[in-house]
Amino acid sequence: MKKLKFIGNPLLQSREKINMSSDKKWLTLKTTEDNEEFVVEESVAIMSNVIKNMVEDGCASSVIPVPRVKGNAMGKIIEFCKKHTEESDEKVLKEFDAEFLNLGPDALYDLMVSANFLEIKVLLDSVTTKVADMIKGKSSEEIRNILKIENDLSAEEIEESRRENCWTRQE
Amino acid sequence: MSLKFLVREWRELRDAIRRKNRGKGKHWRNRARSHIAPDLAPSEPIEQGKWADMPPELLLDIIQRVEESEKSWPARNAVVACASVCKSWRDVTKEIVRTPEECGRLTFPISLKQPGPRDAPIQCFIRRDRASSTFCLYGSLAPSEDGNDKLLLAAKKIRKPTSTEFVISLVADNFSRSSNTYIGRLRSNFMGTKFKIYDNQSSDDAAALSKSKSGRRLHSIACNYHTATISYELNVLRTRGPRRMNCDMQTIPFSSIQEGGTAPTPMSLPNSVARTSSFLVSERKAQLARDCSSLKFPSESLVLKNKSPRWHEQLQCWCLNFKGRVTVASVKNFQLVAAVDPSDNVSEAEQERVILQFGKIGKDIFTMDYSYPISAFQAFAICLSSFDTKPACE
Repeated sequence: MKKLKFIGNPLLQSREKINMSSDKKWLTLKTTEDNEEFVVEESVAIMSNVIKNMVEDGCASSVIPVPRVKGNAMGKIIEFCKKHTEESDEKVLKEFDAEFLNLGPDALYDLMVSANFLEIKVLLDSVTTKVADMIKGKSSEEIRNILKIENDLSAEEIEESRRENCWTRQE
Repeated sequence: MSLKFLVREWRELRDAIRRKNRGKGKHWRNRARSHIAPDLAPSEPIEQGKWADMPPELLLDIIQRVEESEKSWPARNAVVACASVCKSWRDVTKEIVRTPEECGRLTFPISLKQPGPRDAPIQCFIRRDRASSTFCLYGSLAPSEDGNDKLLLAAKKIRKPTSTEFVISLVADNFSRSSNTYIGRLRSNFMGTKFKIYDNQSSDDAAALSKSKSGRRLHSIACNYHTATISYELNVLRTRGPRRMNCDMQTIPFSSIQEGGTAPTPMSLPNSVARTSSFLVSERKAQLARDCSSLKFPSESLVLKNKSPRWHEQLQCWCLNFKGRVTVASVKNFQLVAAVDPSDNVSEAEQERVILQFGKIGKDIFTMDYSYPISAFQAFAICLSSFDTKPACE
């Protein structure tokens, strides 16, 4: 039994089902990694340049397979795109983004590479800005701890970076 | 070389190496790297987290955002922190950060040895501490109220029987010449009329970071290359007037101030001598002897001289237009421009351009503004000479 997800107000689901055949166009996106399907309005889906090109070129069939993106990341992406399609108030969007991006490093990473792959510029810019803000003001050791990065610098590079950090700490 | 080109190159290299290493389970970076066996660096391949291994264009995007938003100190520490996280982050950060000539900002210690910007000077100030005979160069317009100014370089004055020496370091608490924070020195003659600037690396990068036949990188010994000479004219008549200075910047070609000219731009500081085996010491000494003797100076080097002040009849004094950056009259105040003959192919604007300006703004506080083609280190050393000249010159 396929799992279908309607992104939107569950109370409106039945009305949406009726409307599916009328004025709005709908697409089904299927994440090939974990076989989750998402039914989403075309106007929302085309925030992704990749999907937009497919639709414009007439390549979009009934179900669009989406590789390299996990189901939970896709769900978040669609939530973001839907909000950004519906809302035009900059202030509201900014508040939404701040709340939306309140995620751990692992989830942020998945969102970032997925947004990059799907070419959703607005989302990618928001995520990379969030990551940049996360690492500003932190030492390299703190950055490594947060992002779970191992220090693989050579002995020479370690010496150079020690000198650099010694110099930056001087006031 | 555009960033897009770089990113494409990385992707191709990464994909090629991944294809080659598929199934072997080893991290590709450890194969590409060659270095002397260290005390601290890991000897086994490291399993890297995804944030170290992310698509290079994303890493570029993130670090660029950090660099563009943290322009001034102390926030700019963030850029240096990114360069110390891991190898991939270091490589990307070093590619993103531009030289002071290109962006007008100082980021890594090597920025202090790279030429300043062409269009506007980098503005700093020097604080003198008479008690400890130290001089500190800060990267701000003037001392800030909270005292949180970025220390760029520090110098300690050492009086010797026949000369005075200023040892220049990256930090204010270590002036040892064998430390990797040692940058260079300034030495005067007995009369205080002639000074030599010694740099701990040659202007030629290839000589500073030499490779042995085995392809391993050798640590350069912290040595001293004589790279510039500053002369103060003896004022025999003892008339009151400005000191005449002449700075022969031996490693900077005269062509640097001509159309399309460039000045030497080292890309890294030499490493310390501390951690190497005795086996390599003799090899390095031989290499060093070759380096010092083969130091090539340009056939015609850039000479700086002071801009002639004008006599102000009403104020009854010599005046230079310091554009508000110098507020206290002092015989130490100067502006340096390029010494140019009318026959040289140098524009008038370039002839008038002030390359280095130094002057007093308060008790023991002096401003120092420098621009292309000299570096912060060279500018600082020239200004230090101003603190040691003897009455014979005044």
